[in-house]
Amino acid sequence: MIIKHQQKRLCLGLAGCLLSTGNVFAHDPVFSPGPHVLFKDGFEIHAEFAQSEQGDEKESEQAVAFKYGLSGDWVVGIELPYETVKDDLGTEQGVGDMTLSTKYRFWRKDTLGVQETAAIVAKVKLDTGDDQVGSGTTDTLLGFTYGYESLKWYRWASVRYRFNQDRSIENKGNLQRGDRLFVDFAGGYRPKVNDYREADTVWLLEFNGEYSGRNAFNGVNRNNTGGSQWFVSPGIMWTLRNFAVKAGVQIPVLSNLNGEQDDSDYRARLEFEWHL
Amino acid sequence: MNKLNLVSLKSLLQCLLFSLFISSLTLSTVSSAAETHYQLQVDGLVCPFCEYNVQKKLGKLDGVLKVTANLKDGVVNVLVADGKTLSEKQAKKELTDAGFTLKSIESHQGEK
Repeated sequence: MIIKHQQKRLCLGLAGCLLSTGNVFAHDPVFSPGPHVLFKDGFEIHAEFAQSEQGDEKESEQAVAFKYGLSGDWVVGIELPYETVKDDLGTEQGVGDMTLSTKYRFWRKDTLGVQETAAIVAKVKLDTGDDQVGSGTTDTLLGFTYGYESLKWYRWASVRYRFNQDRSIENKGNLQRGDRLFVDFAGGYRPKVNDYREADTVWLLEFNGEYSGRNAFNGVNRNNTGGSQWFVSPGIMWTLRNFAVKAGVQIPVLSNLNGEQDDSDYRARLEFEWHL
Repeated sequence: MNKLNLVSLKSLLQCLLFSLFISSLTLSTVSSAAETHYQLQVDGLVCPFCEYNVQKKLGKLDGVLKVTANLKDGVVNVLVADGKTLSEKQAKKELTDAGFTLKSIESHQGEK
């Protein structure tokens, strides 16, 4: 059943959907990366719960991440998920692939009550997970993100590209997994500027686009793989001093998947974050 | 005679207590007057996490008693103990490490 499960997941190109958000920080959007980093020697503890449904498949993930600020512009992190996948073949669960990440803010323009920044992000998903939920490959993601933050309004944009490693399947051949491109736009609005000792709320709205290349098996394209999807994603960011809660839901609005594939039904995410 | 002595002892004690109270008040005023209040104009402050970052970085400096920030005005107030100072270089370094830009710094001796 495990092999069937893996083959199905690999063919659909769904593995790791929930892990595709890149480096997310408190004052970044929920489903896409922003340029926010930690202060020098700052430490962040991050807990995350995510769930998605696509046709008869339901995937959920609980993850913990730790991040450290090497400087006021450079942060590194490590993330470890636990994943559960349910579909018509049954349920699989286990420790997912570990991810190492980094973000470097290379440009910053500060004015009174406004900060504009840009950063590059990179992450490597290692082949460390349990067989039943891990992708069995080492994949690399590179991206660029821009952010404008003010006391009232926020806006972000980002683009990321994930290079998916080929995977050899024992006694069967080589699966070439299509790469993925992510394009994101997001906005935020703070209704009231409070004192730092009071709770702070920012409402978010994101537009997340994803394009996946076709998978190929031994050089032959798989029909029912790859395609593009766009999501509208309302969310909320709530902070109190050095503690933050973020939540959001991705609703598919445009789907152009190749062949016969189930459209995504929804994806939801809840995050808790402490800065120390 | 004994009664007279008791009354004068009571008066003496009252005078002593009053003197101690006045002295403590005076000492307290002198102590406050010796602290230095720095007002930093900082650009890029936009969120509560920004304030936390600034407090964390400036608050760890030797002699810093209190750090408060006003997001709307971009002002960070730092109270430094008697005999200690906050140099522009120090403040700039800590704010850069926190991810912000120091525009100016002013000090006011003995003001809160």
